[in-house]
Amino acid sequence: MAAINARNLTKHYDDVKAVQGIDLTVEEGSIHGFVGPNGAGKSTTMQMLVGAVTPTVGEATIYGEPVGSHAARERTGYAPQNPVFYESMTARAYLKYMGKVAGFDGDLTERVDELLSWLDLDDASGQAIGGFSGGMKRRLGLAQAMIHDPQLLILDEPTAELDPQGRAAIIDALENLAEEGKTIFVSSHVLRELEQFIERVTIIDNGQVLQSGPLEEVQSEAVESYLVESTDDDRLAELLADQPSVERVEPHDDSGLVVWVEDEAAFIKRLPTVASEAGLGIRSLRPEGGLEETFLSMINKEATA
Amino acid sequence: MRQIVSVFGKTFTDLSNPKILVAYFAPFLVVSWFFGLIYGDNELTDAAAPLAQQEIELFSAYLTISFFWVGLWLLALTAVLSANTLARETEKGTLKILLSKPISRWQVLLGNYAAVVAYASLVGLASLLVWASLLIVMSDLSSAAIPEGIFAALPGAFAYLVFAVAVVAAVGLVLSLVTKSRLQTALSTLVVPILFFAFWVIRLFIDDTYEDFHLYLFDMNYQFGNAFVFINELVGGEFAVETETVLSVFSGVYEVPEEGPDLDQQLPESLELVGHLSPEVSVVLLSVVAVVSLAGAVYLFETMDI
Repeated sequence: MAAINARNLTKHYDDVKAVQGIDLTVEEGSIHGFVGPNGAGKSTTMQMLVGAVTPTVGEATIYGEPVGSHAARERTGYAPQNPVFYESMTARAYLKYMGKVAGFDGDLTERVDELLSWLDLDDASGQAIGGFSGGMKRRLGLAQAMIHDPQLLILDEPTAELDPQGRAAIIDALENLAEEGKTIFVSSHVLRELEQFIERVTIIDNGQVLQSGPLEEVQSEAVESYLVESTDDDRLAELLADQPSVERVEPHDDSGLVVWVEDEAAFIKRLPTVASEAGLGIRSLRPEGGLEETFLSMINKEATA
Repeated sequence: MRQIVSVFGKTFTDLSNPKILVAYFAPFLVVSWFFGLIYGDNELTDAAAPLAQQEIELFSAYLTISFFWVGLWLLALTAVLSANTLARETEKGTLKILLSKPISRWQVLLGNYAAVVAYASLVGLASLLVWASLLIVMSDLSSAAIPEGIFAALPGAFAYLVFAVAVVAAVGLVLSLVTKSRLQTALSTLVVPILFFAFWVIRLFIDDTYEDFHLYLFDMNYQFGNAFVFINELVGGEFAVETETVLSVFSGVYEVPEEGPDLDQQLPESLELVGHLSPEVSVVLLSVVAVVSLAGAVYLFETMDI
């Protein structure tokens, strides 16, 4: 069963079309990235999935339950982009309150201790949240999302505005959760970090899905350039520059060549022949760029379409 | 139920803000002291008078100011408290996380409403006790008059305060969801206590207009006055004519004696009700306002985007 299943999810605010007919499937147990520029509709989509915002049109389910229903929220933990807490409360009191509100059945004190320790907040558990750093607040946001032990986590930009250490702590925590089998639906614009641990990705812009699927598949569909390493890169560059399937060739910063292609299939087919006729050996050939390049490529294509 | 209690406890703790209490009790003490001064020096008799007269005068003075001043000031506090619940959470953004949890919105609303009513009622009880203490200290009446003069009036006065607070808190709650702003909620809810005075002059001096245009329907002084009479008589039995005479001026519920509300004059056994509406109807009307406000609040809260 899909953890999230959304069909034609739409949200209009007066004249603003925030989300326009999104179809989305997040598989159970997967880590699914949700990528798009600011204002693309990521947060609005997530808010519809947790029932905070009512869709104008369309429907979505969480583990088969309608979004916003009690059953759906029991199985969902949510951390918004800029979590706002009760600043005068201590972290421990806040988590206890959230646990009670969520109707947590088990030993709440033990659960709070466990989360505080897991997110390295136990030393600050007695401090008022108002004195927390940005990183501590993000970790507390993750802890409150986890308080009722949900199966699905919807996390909106959990690493935004954090220093490298803070980001690493959150990413570690997400990787731990993934190992435990939780489904994680996470948005971020720090794409290089996201691609370290996500399995599937959905790219949106202007409230519409541009691409969705396994990370590698989505990346390969958007490939426009390859990194080629050979026994003589200078010579290969001269030869490739004359090929009709190649748009341009530039030396890579480290080693090898970056080859921008016009016809990907023709380039892959022709490269071994060109190299062997010149007596050159190909050491490696791989698509260049990661999620960020893929993302930018799709956004650019969308803009020029 | 456990979830409602949790929201109730959290909201009650939030409302227990010392700054709000100081802002409430400082003016309250000053004005109450002023009323104590008036009654102690001028209106009330002294310990030499017959005990029954002391008791009835103390009872009337205590109950009248409990309605006119303690009740009114408490309604203003209730408006401020209402603004400090859901409007505050909406403004700050804390609802976003809270409502993502498996708790129904009506449970959050009910927890907030109950906390406002409970907290304002407690403050109301404290205010009644403070006013009682001031009145006792500042008058020359015998302490033997206290049981029948104060203690007999306290349950009815407190029951009325709880009722009035419940009505205004319901109105405040729905306004907090309409305005989503603390300031606007407080100001718009304050309209209820302001309507206490709005028709005062018209009622006393151009009573034809007051009746012809059915202004009593909107006169909160009259409507709450009717409720005050109904609840007090329900809890403590019928008023003496002296009490009715004072209330005739401060609430407009009773026909003012032609010679004026002078306690020294020969009074009838009891005063006639003005009778625009019976006390029961006012209680029902105010209850309907509270219920409709709560229903509206539930509807708005269930359908609003956070």
